[in-house]
Amino acid sequence: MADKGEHGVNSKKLENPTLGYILILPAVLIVLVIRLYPMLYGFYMSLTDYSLVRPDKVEFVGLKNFIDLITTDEKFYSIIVFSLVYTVCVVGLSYIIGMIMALLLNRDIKCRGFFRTLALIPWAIPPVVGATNFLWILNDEFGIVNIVLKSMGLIKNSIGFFSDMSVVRLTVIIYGAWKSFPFMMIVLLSGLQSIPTEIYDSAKIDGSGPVRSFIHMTLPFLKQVTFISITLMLIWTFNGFEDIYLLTEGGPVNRTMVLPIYTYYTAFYRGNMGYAASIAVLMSIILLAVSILNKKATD
Amino acid sequence: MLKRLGCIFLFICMILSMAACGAESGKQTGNQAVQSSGQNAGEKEKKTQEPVRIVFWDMAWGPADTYPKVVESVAKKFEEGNPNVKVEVQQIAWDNNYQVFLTAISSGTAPDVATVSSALPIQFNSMGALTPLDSILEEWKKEGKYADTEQADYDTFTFDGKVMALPWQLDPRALFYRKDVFEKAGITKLPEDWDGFLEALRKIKKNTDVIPFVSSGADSFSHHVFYHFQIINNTGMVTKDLKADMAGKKNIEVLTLFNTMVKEGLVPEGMVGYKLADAQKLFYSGKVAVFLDAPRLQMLQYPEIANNTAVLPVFKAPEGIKASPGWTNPILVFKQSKNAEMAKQFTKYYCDNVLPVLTKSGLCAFPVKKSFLSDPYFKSNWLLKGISEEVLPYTLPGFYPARAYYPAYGQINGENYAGIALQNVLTAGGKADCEAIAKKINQDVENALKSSK
Repeated sequence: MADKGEHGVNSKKLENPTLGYILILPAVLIVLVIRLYPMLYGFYMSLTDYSLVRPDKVEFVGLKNFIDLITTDEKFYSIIVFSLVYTVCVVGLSYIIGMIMALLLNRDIKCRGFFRTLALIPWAIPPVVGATNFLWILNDEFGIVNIVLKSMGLIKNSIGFFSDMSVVRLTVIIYGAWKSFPFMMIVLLSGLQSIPTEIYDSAKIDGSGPVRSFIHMTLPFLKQVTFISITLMLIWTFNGFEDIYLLTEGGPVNRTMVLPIYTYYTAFYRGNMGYAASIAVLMSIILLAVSILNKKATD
Repeated sequence: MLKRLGCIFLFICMILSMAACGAESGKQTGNQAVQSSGQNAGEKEKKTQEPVRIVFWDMAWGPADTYPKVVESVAKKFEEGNPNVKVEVQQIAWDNNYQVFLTAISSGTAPDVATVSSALPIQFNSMGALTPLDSILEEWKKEGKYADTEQADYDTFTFDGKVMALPWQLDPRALFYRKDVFEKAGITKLPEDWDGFLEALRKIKKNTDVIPFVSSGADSFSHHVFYHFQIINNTGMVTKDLKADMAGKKNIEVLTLFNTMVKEGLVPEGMVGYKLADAQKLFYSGKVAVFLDAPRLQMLQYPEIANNTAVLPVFKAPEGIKASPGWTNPILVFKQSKNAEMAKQFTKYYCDNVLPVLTKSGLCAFPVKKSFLSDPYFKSNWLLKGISEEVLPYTLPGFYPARAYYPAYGQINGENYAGIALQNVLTAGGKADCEAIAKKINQDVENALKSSK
């Protein structure tokens, strides 16, 4: 007979995992069906010439789609380079802004809850609302940013945030960072709040300044939280479709085209599902590699 | 023991809740953009008197508060004439509508009848998803109604010699101009060709402080802007024989025209970044002299615009034709329909009785039937009268000079090759290498034609 613990619980029966597995089995099966099956089917599709235009004539082509993608697709390389640059910049910028906001909101200030809620707004608003507002705010003729900058005499001509080829990529990166930083902020804030405050008191006594404390104490404590938040944000940003699509549809002249939008065009306007699936599989491989590298860098 | 019983109870609840989430009725797509018109889909049909159910997916062509009711009233009248038939009208949102239809067709849950945008029947026909509607044309011939619609409109949806969709409304594009601005600029004669058009824009820039010309540069409407001037110059993305023609002389002339507009500041610098809504905002706030758009009844809601705007009569390029693009939108029957004959009857009825939808629902579109166009509604304000008299007689389809939609059109249109050609010029600051741009886009068109075979 198992000993009953302090609260009268049969500890030996709790150690038996069988009941736990049985209980989670239905949810696991559903997740496998709606996640794993489409993923495996997508991988299979990438090895075929499946086309929406002739769905009944599907042939196995092996790695042909991948070879065509890498060797003959003229647009692929410029798109993948920008996709990676966009992802790294958005994640980096949102991490920095999120960290600054988290450090500020970790202080004991008045109306802290209100400011935290306010900071969550970019994350919370629907993508369509965010994009529409940015398009209006940054418009060269009636956008408030250009109007204010011109009235202050800081610029003479309007900035073409969505029309100037040298600026449009920066615009979408800043928008992406604006949408993403609240998530970083919340995750980092929870990490900051788990750090014992005594260590900072000890560091102060030892003469350590705020910057040194941040680098040598705060950041190491946030290592795991940083890894998780950056990995998730890398995946979401790299796979992100709606932010850029709603702002620029990948233009002008494909200047802000990213892989998810390219995959969408290939799948639904060309009907070439096999080729589109190969792009999606390649994206998954890239993300896996980036996640592994990120883990190594964090360790 | 109690804990174990509690866990098992929760487990059973979880199973039951998941089973409830999975249940769906036969024709539901699961897409949240599909809105039921309010028909009671849960009503059990008695086996002895099972009514014929026709599911009609109608695109959200008009305002949400007025349009669906008028469509349902037409469906209701059909039901009155066919007591054993129940027409279930569902409004389909424009966002991702192509994916909604693709999913439905692929999963065997396509509706019986649908109105769709003009480029879709060729795609669906390639998938073998449509029912031919030639029998309806035969009936119209017997009834003397065939000639009420232009042959070209029937031909638009004729693939491999079979009519796979029927035209029911025409959605034209037009140039709208501010009469007061033209007067202030000293323009006494409206342009008759595009040299005259450029001259008018120059006068506006010189003598007024409004933007001479604007339209969309960023979104899919940008291809309409380019098409407009292609058609005026009697050219298109492909030739009549479906060969890529972007590198042709006439398309280079179109690119050069836009380059001139950019060079001389006749369009805003930021136009390449404008979605149609941005361009509309500029026009409705009175900052623009000439605006390219579809006719929209909302123009009449802005007094400054409504009282001072007119439809610019169609003009041509120096060696072009008087023409303006317009999209003929169709209604079709899916092969998956279990009641194909009744679906065809409803389709015919809808085409014959669609006038209230065009005149009472808030939709701003025009009939393909000539007899409908004579309704006084289409002369009831400057907008409808202007389009009817100045634009419709010269309307040509977006696939011109091809004779009908062709398989590569979906890619050329969907990936916005015409719009990208325009964007290339708009971003070049007036120094566009039009030949190089034309050659590059021509290669894309050639690749699209090749891959669609």
